[in-house]
Amino acid sequence: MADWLKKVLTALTIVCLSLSFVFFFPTLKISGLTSQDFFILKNIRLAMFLTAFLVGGILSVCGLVFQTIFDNPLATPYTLGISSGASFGAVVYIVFLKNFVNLPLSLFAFAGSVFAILLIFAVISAVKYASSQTILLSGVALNFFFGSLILFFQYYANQYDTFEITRWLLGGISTAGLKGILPLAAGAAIILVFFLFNAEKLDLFLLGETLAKTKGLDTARERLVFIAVCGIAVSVSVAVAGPIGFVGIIIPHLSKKLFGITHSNSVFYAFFLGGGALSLCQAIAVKVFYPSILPVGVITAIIGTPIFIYILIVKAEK
Amino acid sequence: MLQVKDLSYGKIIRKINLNVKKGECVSLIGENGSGKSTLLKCIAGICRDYTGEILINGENISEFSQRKLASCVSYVPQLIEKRIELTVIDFLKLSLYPYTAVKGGEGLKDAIGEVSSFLEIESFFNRKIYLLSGGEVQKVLIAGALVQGADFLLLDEPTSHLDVYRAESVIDLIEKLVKEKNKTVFFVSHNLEHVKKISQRVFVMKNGEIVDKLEGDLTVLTEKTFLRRVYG
Repeated sequence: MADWLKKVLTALTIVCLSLSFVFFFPTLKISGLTSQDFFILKNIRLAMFLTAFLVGGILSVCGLVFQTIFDNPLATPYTLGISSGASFGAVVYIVFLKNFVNLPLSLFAFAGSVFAILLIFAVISAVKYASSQTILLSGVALNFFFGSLILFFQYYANQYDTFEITRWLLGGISTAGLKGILPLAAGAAIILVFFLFNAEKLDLFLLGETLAKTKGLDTARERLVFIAVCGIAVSVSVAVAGPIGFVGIIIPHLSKKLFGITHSNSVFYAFFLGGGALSLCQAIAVKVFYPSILPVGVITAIIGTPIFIYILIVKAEK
Repeated sequence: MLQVKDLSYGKIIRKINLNVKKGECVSLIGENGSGKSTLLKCIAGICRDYTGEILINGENISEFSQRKLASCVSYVPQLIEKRIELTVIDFLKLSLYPYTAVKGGEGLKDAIGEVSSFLEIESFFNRKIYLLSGGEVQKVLIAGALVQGADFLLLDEPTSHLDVYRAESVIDLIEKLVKEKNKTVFFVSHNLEHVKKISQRVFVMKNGEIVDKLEGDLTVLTEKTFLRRVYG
């Protein structure tokens, strides 16, 4: 079968499967639908599963890109402190600003993650040789920094704010109707097109730093460009859905295992696999304690942890 | 022509001056740590913050983009620094990256076929690079260097990890590249017999400097004369 046809059929299959969740979760609604049912299907369920799909796709592609450019199979979209920066922004809003400012929390989360990206770039520009290890360690340091600030503000906050912070940190696909999906869709489209267009450069990173340079890749510059693009996309994702773990580390490995390591394939399939996976996790999240909705980050952690350990063991054996 | 003028890189190499004409095969010999590999890496653009000038056909390579430089100079490292899980054919396609910057799509299909046929590597196109033997990896790396379309080949100890038979076949291959493909080769070696067999000129390095040059009749280059040249 032609490669493009295989991609299209796989993508369509996953998208249709993910969209079918709209009619089945949390309760079956496929016939005898009232206008209220249509409203729920369109503005709540469709919005929820589309959001999950786009967030899963973004995190998976960005996780794949980070694993490639840092040559680290355990790199995640949050490795550079983007998620903890967003969490910090959200915490500042919840503890200090929500009673005074008529702006959404997601905006502050987005600002927090962009602040984290700017800090990373500040560190890179201050260091003469910003190797991938230097950048990764800067991200680890930022994670600790924001994490400690979050703990401090949680201690300072009242019980209601503390609960709200805890819920936000678990990650969850809340919906703002279909309008809220627009920035996510834009982010998803940009990263999918951008990284498919730059698939060859990503493949060159697979050769290692030295060999990639000898083949004409300006590894330092391209790494920064890819970090910036992923950073913005992940910022949008975290601002909308909070920090959702494991999708961005596991789906890239699955995509490479099933469809090969060249990025013209792995980027494409990672997006759709990630979207489908998070949609499935969201379906489980709405169903398991229905009518309560579990934060989807709990489901991805429960499913993702054993898979993550399996990856560690397999890599160690290799 | 490759010209190196007053090239220094930290404390590793100091005030190197040399030139390599088109179609020449030139060797670089010296004790461990004398700066041979670093010199090649500066020319290949892996080390960019050197002082001095490196000119290729009169143009200063410090003004080249990485891609343009790779279209002029190919580098084959001594060791691959990581496990490469790409197949041989995928690696060769990636090696076209600098080629396409210069020539676009012209001759693309022929580039890999011609090189693969010349080096007899078609039989392991679909094998992953990390599963190849040392000799096969060297051939594939050289194939990748040729596919790039560069006229200058920098080879860093191409036979150091090979058995005698495979080492001889790589040396014969390098000789063919110079004679039949009109490539310019600048290679580092510790094997004086290989150096004598295919080189027109030899530079001797010690402590980051070129301490001696030999050309013409290289049969005088024995271990004894080499040691005298390096250690005095």
